[in-house]
Amino acid sequence: MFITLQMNSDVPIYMQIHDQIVEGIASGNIKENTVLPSARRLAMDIGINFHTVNKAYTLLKQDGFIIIYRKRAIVRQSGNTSLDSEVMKMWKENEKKLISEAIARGLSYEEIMNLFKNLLYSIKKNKDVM
Amino acid sequence: MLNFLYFIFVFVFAILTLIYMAMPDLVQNTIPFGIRIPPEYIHNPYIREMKKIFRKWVVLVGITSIIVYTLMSITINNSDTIAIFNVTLFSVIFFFFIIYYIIHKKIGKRKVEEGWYSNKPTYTYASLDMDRDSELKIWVVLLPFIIIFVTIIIGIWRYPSLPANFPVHYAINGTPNGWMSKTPFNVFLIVVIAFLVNVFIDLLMYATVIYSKRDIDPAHPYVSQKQQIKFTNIMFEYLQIMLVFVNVSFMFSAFQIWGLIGSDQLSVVFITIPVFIGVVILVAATYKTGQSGAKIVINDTGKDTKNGHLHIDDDMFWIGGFIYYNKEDPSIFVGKRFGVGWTLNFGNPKAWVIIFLIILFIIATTLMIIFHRNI
Repeated sequence: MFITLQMNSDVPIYMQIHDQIVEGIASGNIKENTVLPSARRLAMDIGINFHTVNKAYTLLKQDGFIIIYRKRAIVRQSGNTSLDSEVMKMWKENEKKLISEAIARGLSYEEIMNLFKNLLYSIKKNKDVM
Repeated sequence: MLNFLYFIFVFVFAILTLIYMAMPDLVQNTIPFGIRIPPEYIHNPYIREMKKIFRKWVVLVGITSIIVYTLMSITINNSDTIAIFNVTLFSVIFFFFIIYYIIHKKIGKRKVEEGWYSNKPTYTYASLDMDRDSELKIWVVLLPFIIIFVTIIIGIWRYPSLPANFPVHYAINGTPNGWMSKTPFNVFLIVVIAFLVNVFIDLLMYATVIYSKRDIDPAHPYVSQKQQIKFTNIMFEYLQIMLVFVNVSFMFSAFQIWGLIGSDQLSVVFITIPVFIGVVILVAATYKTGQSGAKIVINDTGKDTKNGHLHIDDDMFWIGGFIYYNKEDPSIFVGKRFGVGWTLNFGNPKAWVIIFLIILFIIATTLMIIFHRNI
């Protein structure tokens, strides 16, 4: 699988790397126990400072998506996140903000639900397009 | 005088001219003459015109070099053959570079003037599964060492019958001009050097595999990834084939020192031809692969979606279109801009360590030969 970065984007590079790996896990393109390339390897291919990639990996580790074992970044098994965990509380907060924004912009209950369904569908459908 | 070496050298100029003429078609078509262009400009008439002009001048310089070299070889003393060759070779490479540089600048200027790249969003792709995809056949490394092993066996068999002082170097006319006393180290020095050359080239190639950038083309990520993996593997294998031939040349040199073959013109043929064949095979391989595997056909089985993503414009990192200088990039090796193979990232201090090691190796092996002659 490939990650797609935009160097002149407002989103920092490390965040782009982080988000794309999370998306990869969600779509199933990155499977459990996958060993991600070393930070050095990825930094060389992208042509950026090695610390930028390390920052993305550290964030992924903090979020619980990967573990670092013998200097290797390995994708963790999913399905063990409890709804009352700290991470999910944060997620709910973010989601609340986004849904409130949609309501405030005048979207109906059905429209928001359809938007959610379509997004869920498109994330899963993304599998193996590349 | 037109001797055997003359014909070898003329052949070198011919090969050099041919490979340089083919170069615009060997590099990726989105980097003509070292300028990054969007895919829709690949068939731009201006670039086609520049390719024609480039070929015309390269042929002109190539033919001129052969004529000048021939005239010099006929008129100047035979013993200067190699010096004349070096001077002519240096001039040819210099003129080829000038032709490249002028056209590189012209296309770069046209690109900026007509805004080929302006205001278009660009993307950088990176593969998450490339490491495991490499299918490097490490055992191939052993092939060249078999030749060295055979040479050692023959040397051991020959050792008892060598005289106390034996010739180690010959002038071009075949008379010995360097002698050594018979010690195991002196007798096997040429084998030691052959061994060190092999180890050094293998280490350099391995470092290239590990520390080189894999530049993915967003227009067809899957294909460009596969092409680069195949290219690296083919280069690795053909380099080993070349080393086999280099070692055969080393073997014949050893045979000459050990008195197994004569020191006449014919032995010069024996020693020169294998290296030459090895280099020609390697060049032929690059002709088939193209730079970074640009000419390798990959069936993408619909894996590359046509999303029209554009590669980042990286011209500013290429000084004069041939020196890569990017301080932010941790890569040590990067694919050449106009050529087949790799060059160094001169913005990375580790690249300078590599250059230092190469110079050190050349000096060390040369000193080994010089200090052990005339003892």
